[in-house]
Amino acid sequence: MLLKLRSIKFQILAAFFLLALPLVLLAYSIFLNQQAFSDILSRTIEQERFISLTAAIERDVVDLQRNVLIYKDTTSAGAVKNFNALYQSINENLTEIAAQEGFASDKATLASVERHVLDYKNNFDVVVEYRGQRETLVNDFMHARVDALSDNVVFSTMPQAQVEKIQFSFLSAHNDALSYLASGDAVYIQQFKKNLQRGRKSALAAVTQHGGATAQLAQAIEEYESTFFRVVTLTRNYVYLINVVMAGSAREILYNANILGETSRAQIKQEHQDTVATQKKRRQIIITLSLFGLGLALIVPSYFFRLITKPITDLAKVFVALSQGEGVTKIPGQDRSDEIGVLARAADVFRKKNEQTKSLLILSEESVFVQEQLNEDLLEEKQRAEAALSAKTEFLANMSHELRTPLNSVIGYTVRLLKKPKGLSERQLTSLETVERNGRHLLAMINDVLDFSKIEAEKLELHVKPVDICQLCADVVDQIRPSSEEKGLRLDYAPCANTLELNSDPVRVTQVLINLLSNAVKYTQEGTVSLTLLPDYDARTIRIDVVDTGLGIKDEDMSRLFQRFEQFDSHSRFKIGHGTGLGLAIVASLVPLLGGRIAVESVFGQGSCFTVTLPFDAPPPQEH
Amino acid sequence: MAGKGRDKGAGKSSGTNAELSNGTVSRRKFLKSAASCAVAGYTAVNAPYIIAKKKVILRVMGTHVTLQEELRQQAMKDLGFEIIFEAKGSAAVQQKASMFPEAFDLYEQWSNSIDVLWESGAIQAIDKTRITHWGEVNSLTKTGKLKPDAKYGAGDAPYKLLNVQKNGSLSSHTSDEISFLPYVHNVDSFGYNTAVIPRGEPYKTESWGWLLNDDYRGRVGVVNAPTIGLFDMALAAQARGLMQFNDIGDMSRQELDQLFSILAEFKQKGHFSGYWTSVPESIEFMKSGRVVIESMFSPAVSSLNGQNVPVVYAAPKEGYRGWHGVMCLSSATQGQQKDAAYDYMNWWLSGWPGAFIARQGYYISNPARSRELLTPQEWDYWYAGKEATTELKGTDGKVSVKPGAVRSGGAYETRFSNVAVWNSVMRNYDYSLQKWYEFISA
Repeated sequence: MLLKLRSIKFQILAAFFLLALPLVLLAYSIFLNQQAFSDILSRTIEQERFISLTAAIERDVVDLQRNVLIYKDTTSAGAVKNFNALYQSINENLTEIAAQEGFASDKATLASVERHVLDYKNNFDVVVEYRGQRETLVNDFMHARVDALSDNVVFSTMPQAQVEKIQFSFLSAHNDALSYLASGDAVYIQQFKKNLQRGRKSALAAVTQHGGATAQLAQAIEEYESTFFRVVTLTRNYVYLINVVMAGSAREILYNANILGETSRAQIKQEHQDTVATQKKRRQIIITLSLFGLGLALIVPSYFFRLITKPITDLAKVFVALSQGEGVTKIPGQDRSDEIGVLARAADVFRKKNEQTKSLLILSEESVFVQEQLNEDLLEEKQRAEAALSAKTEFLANMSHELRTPLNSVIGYTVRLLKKPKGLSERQLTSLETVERNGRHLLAMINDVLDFSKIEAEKLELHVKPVDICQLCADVVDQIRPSSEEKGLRLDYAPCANTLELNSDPVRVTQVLINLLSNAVKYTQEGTVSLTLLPDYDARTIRIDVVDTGLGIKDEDMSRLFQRFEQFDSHSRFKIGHGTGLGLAIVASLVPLLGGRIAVESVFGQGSCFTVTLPFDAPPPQEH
Repeated sequence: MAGKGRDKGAGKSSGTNAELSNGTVSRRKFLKSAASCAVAGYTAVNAPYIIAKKKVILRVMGTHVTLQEELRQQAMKDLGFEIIFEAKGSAAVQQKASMFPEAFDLYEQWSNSIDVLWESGAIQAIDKTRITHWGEVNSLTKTGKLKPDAKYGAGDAPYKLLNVQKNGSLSSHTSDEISFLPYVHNVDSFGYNTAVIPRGEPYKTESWGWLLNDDYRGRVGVVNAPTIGLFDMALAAQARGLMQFNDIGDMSRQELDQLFSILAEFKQKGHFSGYWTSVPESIEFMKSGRVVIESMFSPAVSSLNGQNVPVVYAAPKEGYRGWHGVMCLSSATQGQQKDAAYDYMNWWLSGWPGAFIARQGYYISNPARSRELLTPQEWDYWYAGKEATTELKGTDGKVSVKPGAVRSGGAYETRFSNVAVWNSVMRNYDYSLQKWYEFISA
């Protein structure tokens, strides 16, 4: 359906949308706030973890240095073990830090930490190696070598003082060496060099002087010296590593770990500030939205009051006025294009209909008046028509009577002539017979017409008296028998065993039966025509069935059966011969007069059954 | 002890020397011609030589200062054998060298490592007669002075360590053998960021004392090497009048105690931000703003200037801290390896490398040969201390010097006449290590 901009439906939808919009935006803002809060919370937790990781690294590095110093002094295996555990712990923490993408943004700093940690470890491995070597060398140096220098066969042959002088030099050198090892003071190295050189010089000179071989001694001295300098170098190197290189690395690790922590602190602080700023902005938005929504909530009802409620109230008043039939000249809101407009226009239609109804009422009042006059006229006309009909019936009755009189004469004279046929030619006889036959036919017709007229004019008078119906039926059958026999039909009638006396008009009963039987014979070409009496003593009625095996009646013809002047198709008329067409109409009129009923059943082509039910006592004649 | 190693080496290698001398000579000839001619014909000359020789892989251990990929490629191209550079930090490289002479053939570092290496027997003496251009090597390492009025500089001045004496000691007394090949050298000072620190005047206002200026508290960097950084600190303390040294190149225990107690005070106040162990680290310190003033090596200054960090390399009025590169021969290197090592040493003095490193601000001991490969503008700027008249490119192909720039400290002679102290291993070196640890870790 097309949504019209001006329609109330649209405006309600728009108002709803406008009211819902701030609500939705509010909800969204709250959702965003919540999310930001939850984000910053999880970030803070992450950052706490990050800080604790960097702090753990710093702590471990300090511990590393402690263990390195312990190792430097004691060569303790425990310190190395501790060192390796700490190193592993640092590396695990570094791995976790590196995984925290959000905070380890300072890749260079992290890389620097990793590099220095690795350097530290590598250098410590070197320290352990050097320190181990030194331990062995120092042991060798301290115990065996100095004795070996003066343990030469030549010395035994030399004067004690000279040997002691040489030994003193070597022992002095050895003392210097031990002093260096104990103090680390380089002064002793110079003295060691000096004393050893002196010892070497005098020892080699003495051996040469006493004819001994110097090579072995020189080599021993050189090895001794070499061992010492090897110790010095080793010591210097691992001390350098520990004191300079590793100390520097450790310091850089501490510095950079601290930077990582600080950076993440600054970062989270910035994020906090950003969040707070965003929250503040959102809060302003929420307040604005709330005010907007509140304003809308105030405006919308008054708008709709003016838009809908008031016009509807006005229109309701209009409807009340219209329903009370008060004159309404102006309907408000007709020019509106919304639903109120439609309603107002409907009210206008209602108003117009009201006016139309009013004028219709006036018109109908007028027409009722005309009708009444017409009715009066009609009654007059009816009475006139009835009078005319009565006159016609009277006329017909008179006419029939007047016609019968001469006709009876014609017939009578014809019969008299026929009774004395002598002198009459065959042709004359035939003509006379024709005259008689046609005369009788005409008479019957006139009688029928007369009867019918009387019935129609309700002038027929019944002469009720006791009648033996069995006898009456036998008489009727006897009357019909000639014509049936003429046609070769069987005419069945079972006469009653007892007499059955009715109070009825015998003439009219006879007329009915003759009509029915003669019709049956007339319309039956072969077979049987039967008349059956069936008294019902309970109901005090007698049923008279006239059954034939004739043409039968078509269903569609049943309705016209008892109407006057009705004879069926021309074919049957041709076959059956002429009649007045009044027979069954008369029967149908007479039976009710006698207080009976007539019914017919028929199967076309097989035959018909006319049933006349008569009361034992005919009703008294009705007064007109 | 050192003498023994040298003798052994000579004995073992004598058999192979004769066989290889031809190849060596032909290569030397080539190198001479390559200095003045184009590189064309290189393959023709070298191809038979490569085939004649067994495969040699020369292992050079040293620092990033001289172990640069361009130099390695050029050397391999010129010499025809493979060269492996193993570059490490100063300390690590010296440690390894002093302990494992078999791990390298040539060792490139500073003169202050000579004592340690020589004493530990890790290096053997170099035969001066096999150094083709020995005659061209200037007087800095031979007499200790480029000019008659120059200062020798305190501490281990390289000329004092050059000559190997009969008794195995090192001295300034000329002999046939030398402990190292003099090649790359320079003077160091400190760099400062002029975005924070107002630019000073070379030799006049710029002072080591700035390193201990409270204004820069928390933003001072020091090189983590006692043989170097210690002197920066000592010069700074002396410049600020906090103490005086009898001989700054050979401090007594008492002097060391006093110096480190002064430094400890500064340290406690949070004066020092970091102690760098490599040039890239020193660059990062300055670049990140972690420090605004620190001990520096000149390539770091060039690099930072290239990255638009306005760092000035000071010419302190107290004089520079000098350093001299030393190329040492491993006591374990003999035979073909040793010949290749000599080839490499000779290549270094053949001109091209000197010109190459000149563009990074380093000097070579025989500058005249490199001068031919430098433009006059380059020579004027880098060596003569004159104003640059054109843009000068560094070895990375980027412009490192803009027209109008003058090298801080001036000409080569001027700079090396103002060496206050050389990087040194003092007699109290062992003691200084202890104090240094306190300084770093306190």
